[in-house]
Amino acid sequence: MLTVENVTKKYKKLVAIDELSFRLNDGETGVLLGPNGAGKSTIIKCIAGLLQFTGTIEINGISNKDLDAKRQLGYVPEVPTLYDTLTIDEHLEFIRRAYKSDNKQYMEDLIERFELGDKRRKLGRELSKGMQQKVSICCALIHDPSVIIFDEPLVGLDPHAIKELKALINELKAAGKTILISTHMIDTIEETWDVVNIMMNGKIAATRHNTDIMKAGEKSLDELFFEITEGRLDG
Amino acid sequence: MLSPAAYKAVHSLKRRPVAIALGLIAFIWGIYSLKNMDIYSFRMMSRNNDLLVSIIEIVLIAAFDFGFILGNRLFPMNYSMADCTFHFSGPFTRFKVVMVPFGKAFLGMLFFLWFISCQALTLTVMFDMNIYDMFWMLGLCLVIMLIAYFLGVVLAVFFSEGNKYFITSYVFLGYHIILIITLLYMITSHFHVSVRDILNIKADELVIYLGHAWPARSFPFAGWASFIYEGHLGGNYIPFVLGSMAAVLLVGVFMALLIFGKYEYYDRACSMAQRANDFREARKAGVDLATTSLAVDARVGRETLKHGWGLSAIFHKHVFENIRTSRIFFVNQAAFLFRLVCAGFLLLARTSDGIEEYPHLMVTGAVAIIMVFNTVAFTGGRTILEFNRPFIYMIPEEPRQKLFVSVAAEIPEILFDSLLCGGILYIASPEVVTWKMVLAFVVLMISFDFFCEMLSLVCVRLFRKLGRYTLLVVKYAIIITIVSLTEGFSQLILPVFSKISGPMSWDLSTAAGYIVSAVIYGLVVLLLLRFARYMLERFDA
Repeated sequence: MLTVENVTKKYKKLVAIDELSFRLNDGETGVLLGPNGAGKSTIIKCIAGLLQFTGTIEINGISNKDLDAKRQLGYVPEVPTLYDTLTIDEHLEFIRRAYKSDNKQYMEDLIERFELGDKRRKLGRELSKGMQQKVSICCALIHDPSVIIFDEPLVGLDPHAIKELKALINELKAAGKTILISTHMIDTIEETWDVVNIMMNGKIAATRHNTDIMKAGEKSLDELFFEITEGRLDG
Repeated sequence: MLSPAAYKAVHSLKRRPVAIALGLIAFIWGIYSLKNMDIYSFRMMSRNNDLLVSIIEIVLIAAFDFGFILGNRLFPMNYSMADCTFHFSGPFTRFKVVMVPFGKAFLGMLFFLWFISCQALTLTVMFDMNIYDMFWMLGLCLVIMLIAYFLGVVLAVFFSEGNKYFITSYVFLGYHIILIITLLYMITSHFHVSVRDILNIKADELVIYLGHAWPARSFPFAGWASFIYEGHLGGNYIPFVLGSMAAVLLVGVFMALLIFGKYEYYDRACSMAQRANDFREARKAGVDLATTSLAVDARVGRETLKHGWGLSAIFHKHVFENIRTSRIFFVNQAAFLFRLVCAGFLLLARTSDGIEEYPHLMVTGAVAIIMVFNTVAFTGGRTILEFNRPFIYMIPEEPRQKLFVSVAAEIPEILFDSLLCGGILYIASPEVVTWKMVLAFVVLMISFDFFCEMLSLVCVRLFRKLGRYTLLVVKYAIIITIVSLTEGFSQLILPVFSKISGPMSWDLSTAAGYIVSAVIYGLVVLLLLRFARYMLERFDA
C-alpha cells in the first residue's frame, strides 16, 4: 500500500508539488498522467526518498524514510543511471547483496525475461539506453519489493521488452504488489491501470478509476486527459 | 535574410552578453599589446633575424598543431544533435554541412592569435621583434591554422569509418615524439652536451639552432612557411608568392576533398552528438560527469563481485570498481602517474648545480609538489560517483553507515599512495629526511587525501549547479584557503611545542609540523563527513 498525504515540494519559489494526496491499495496499479512539467517525476522521486518534501509518504503504513519502508520499495528512474564499471551481472548481484536477497534464481529469471543473457558481461556504459532501462527495471525488482514505482518505464524499450514489462506488471499486480507508473503516453498503460491521477501544475486535476471509465457514457482516458490538460474541464 | 548558420550564431551570441563583453575586453587588450610594441624602448638583446625566423617557426609549429587538433579531434564533436537533424538530413550542400562547425573552430583560432598578440611586449623586450614581424607571424599563423584545420578534418572523416579515427592521433603523437627525440639528439651532438645540460646552452643559440634544424624546417607547412618570412627579410618574394599560392591551393584541395569526396562521417558525428546530448541529459538528471571520466579505462577481466552482504556490499563494490578501473590491484592510476612525475622531477632537481647546499629546500619542494598533485588525483573518488546514482539513497541501510563504508573503501588506495609519498620524500633529500619525518609525512598524506576526497564530495553536491569549470575554481579556492590556514596554524603552534618540550631538531620540528597539519586535516574531514551525512539525509539527491 502506498499513501501520499499533503505532499509539497518547492524549489525556492517554484512549487513543483502542491499539497498532493493519493492512495494505492495492495494489488492496485496507479498511473500518474500529465503533460511535461506537471510534477510526475518530482512526486515519484519524493516517494523514492530522493527529494526532500513536506507532508507524509508511507509504504505499507511506514514512513518512506524508514529503512523498513525502503526494503519494500522498488524504483525505476526516468533516466537509467547505472555504474559505468559494473557489468549487467554485477549490477544485479550488487543490488541483490545490498538488499540481502537470497533468491538468486529470480535474478536469472529476470535476465532471461528481458533478454539480457548475451550481454551480461557488458559494462553499464557500453549498453544502449534501452538495455540500461532493462537493467534498471531488473535492479528495482530483484529484491521482490511490495511497492514498485516506475518513472516513464517504457521509454527506449524494444517491442519485446515492452510486452514483457506489461506482462510482468500484470503478474506483479496479481501477486498483490502495489504499482505506480508515471507516464504521459496514455496508450501504453491502457491494459494495466486501476486508478489514474491526472496531474497539472503540481496538483491532481482529476482522479478516475478503471471501473468508472468502463461505465456507459463515461469519457475515455484520452478524452478526459485532453479535456483537463487543455483546460476544458475541472477535476 | 541571414543564412540559418549566421542566424543561429547571432542569436546564441545575443544570449551571452558576458561572453561578448569578455571578448571585447580581450580584443582591446590584444590591440593594446600590439600597439605598444614599438613604443617600449627597453631591449634585452639586439635584433637578430635568424633568431626571429626561428621563433616564428616554433610559433607556426604550435599553430599547426593547434589547428590540426581543432580539425581532427574536434570536428566530429562540434555538431550538435540539432545540426545532425537539420543539416545532415536537410537540403544543404556538403559545403554548408562541412562549414557548420567551422565557426567554433575559427573562434579557437582567433583565441590562439589573441594569445600570441598578448605576448607582444615579451617578444619585443626579449628578441627585439617589431610590429611588422608580429603581423607577419599572426598572418602566417592564421594561414597555417586554416591549412592544418582542413587537413585534420579531411583525415578525421577519411578515418571515421570503422572506428579507425584514433590512427591519425597515434601518427600525430608518434611524429612529435620522433621529432623531439631527433632534435634532442641533434642538440646534444651539435653542442656536445648531455641532455641534462641542454638548459645551460645560451637560449638564443639554442632557439636559432632549433629553428634552422632540418626536422623543424621539414615540419609540414609550419616549417616550410618559415622560408616565406626568411624570404621577406632577405627581400626575396619568390617564396612568399609560391607559398601564398600553395596555401590557397591546399585549402581549396582539402575543401574539395570534403565536398566532393565519398567520405561518410555523418555516423560518427551523429554518435558524438548523441553522446554529448546524453551527457547533458544525464547532468539534468543529477549525474555529474566531471567525475565519470574515471571509468573510461575500465575493462572486464577475471575479477568477480562475490563479497559483501547488506552494508558491506557497498564497501566491496567500491573496492571491486577501484580494482577494475586501476587494473593494478587497488593503485589509483592517476595518483601513481603523478608520483612517477614527482619522483622524476625531484631526481632531476637533485642533480641541479648548487641544490646540494639547500637540502631542506628540496623537502619543502617535494611536499608542495606532492600535495598539489594530490588535490587533482584524489578529488574524483568513487563516493562522489555513488552520490550521483539513486542506489545509495535507496539501499535500506543507515545513511551514516552507507557514507562511512563508501569512504572507507578508499583506504587501500590512499594508504598505498601515502606510503609511496613517504618514499618520494626520502629520495628528494636523503641527507636530511629521517624516518620520523617519513612516518609523519605518511600520516599527513593519509589525512590530506581524505580531506581532498571529502571536500570534493561536498563541493560537487553543493555547487554542482555552477557548471563544471566554476565548480573547479570554487573547489580549488576552498582547498587553497584551507591549506594556507592549516600551514599558517601549524607554523604558529610549533614554537609552543618548542617551549613545552625544549628546543627541537629540524627533522623533529618538521615531523611535528606534519602531524599538526594531519590533525587539522583530520578534524576538517570529520566536519565534512558530518556535513556529507547531513546532505545524504536532508538534501535532494
